[in-house]
Amino acid sequence: MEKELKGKTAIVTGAGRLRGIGRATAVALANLGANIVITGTGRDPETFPEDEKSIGWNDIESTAEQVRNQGSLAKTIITDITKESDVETLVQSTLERFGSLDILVNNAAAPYGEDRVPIVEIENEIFKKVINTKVYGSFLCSKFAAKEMISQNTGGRIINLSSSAGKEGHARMGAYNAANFAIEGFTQALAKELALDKITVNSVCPGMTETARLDPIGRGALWKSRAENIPMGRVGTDEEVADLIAFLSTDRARFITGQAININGGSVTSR
Amino acid sequence: MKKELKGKVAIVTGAGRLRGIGKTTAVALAKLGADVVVTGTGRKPENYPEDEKAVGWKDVESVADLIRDEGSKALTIIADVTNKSDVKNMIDQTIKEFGRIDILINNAAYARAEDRVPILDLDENVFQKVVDIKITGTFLCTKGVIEHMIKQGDGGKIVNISSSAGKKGTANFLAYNAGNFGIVGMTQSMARELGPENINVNAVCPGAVDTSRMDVVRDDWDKMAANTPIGRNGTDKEVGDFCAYLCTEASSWIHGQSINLNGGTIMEH
Repeated sequence: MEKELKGKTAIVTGAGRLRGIGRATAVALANLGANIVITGTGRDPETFPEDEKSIGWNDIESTAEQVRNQGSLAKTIITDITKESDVETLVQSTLERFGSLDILVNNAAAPYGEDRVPIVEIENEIFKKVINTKVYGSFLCSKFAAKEMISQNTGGRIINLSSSAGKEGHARMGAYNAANFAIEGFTQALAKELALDKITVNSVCPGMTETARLDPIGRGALWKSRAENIPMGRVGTDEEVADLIAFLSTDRARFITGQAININGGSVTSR
Repeated sequence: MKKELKGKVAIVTGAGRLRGIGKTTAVALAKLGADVVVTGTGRKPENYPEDEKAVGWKDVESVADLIRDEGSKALTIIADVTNKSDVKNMIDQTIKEFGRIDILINNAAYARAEDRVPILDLDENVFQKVVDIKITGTFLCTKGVIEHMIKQGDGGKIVNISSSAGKKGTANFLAYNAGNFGIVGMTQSMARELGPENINVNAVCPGAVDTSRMDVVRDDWDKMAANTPIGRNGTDKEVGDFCAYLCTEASSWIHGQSINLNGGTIMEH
């Protein structure tokens, strides 16, 4: 593979998990030659899943090591993307370390769990947290990153993680549906605003993907029956989603903007 | 670029033009290592656009040369994709020459021109032709090819070329809208049927792209470019690169989708 992203700098938010789209994306972009800034929330090691504990996984530091193994440079920053000062620091320290910012992957999201209840039961604070991390967090990161990309005047890429839940509403997914549908509206607006600056803005909408995020639903009968309902007959991998994000980050994808691309084995095709 | 399609065999229909998505897709697949069969309708050389005449372009034979320049094998076939025996011949020859089929790009379409008129002025034979090449052609080629893909047992990739006109209706586009919306529906149906066989089926929906197909609208070309959010129309290479990406192993979880590639003009799904 020729290093298509050599000399580019990417920020990937929420990339501390061993099994996760953030980590896989950081590695895929590094594989194409980009230097990567990785954010996480500074998870308490006691809450790590068993597989992370057993191999001595060290959150974003371990993702950074995987990036370096691809021959790229990595920097880690603990960031609360819903705090303006944190996001300003994130962008500033990216520029200080690497001199440019070319790619932003808005991947961070509130964990799956207490939000998956009927709307009449959902705690207000839980609902706000889901929306705040996904929508307000993507807004803040995009705002500061886009300002920089515009002033660099060399184009750029913003890729927002949405979901099948950004295309179809489901019972017990009110907060998550609201957040992901919002990401798609935001993607379209931002794409139109930044198009002439050669900054493309797209979202990627994965279906069921094998990541730690989905551990709360287990890997038993429910998992199996859901996988069987996917036309491809299987769930996706974090690497597959990452590869699409990496493609969208290349110069080859410069004519694709404002889209919300499904990657789901055929489970949702209607939009 | 890694030769990730080494050993794979692709058919690209409608790939005889110098400036065209068929050509760039064939070349992009060859760049990734695939051997490529290209089809054309046997256009009369006197109808070639000036730039093709000027460089001594020879339709699918010239595309085959470009494929060979990438180090891949090429085969050219004259085929009418709406004709069952032509399609059978196309597949038989592919199997005879290369022994297998892994990738099908349903790109052939009726030339743009006389179909872009109000419904009341639209000739039924023109309507029929547009819909037939796009829909019946895609159906026949797909049907013939998946038989081999299923028998081979190791999956496959089908990419159907639709259009922004497959997402949004426009005045004076009746036949083309029907053909391209049809492709989007067929793509979803095929994906649901062929998923269990590991055959990925997707459609690509380009906006205005600089190909000889669009030579009839050059008067409006700059206006069309100005109306895109990114301020320009697309290139055939941009679409070809994306079609090739959809044929890689890494993109296997993208399935049943009709993906817009248009500089932001259409964001409908």
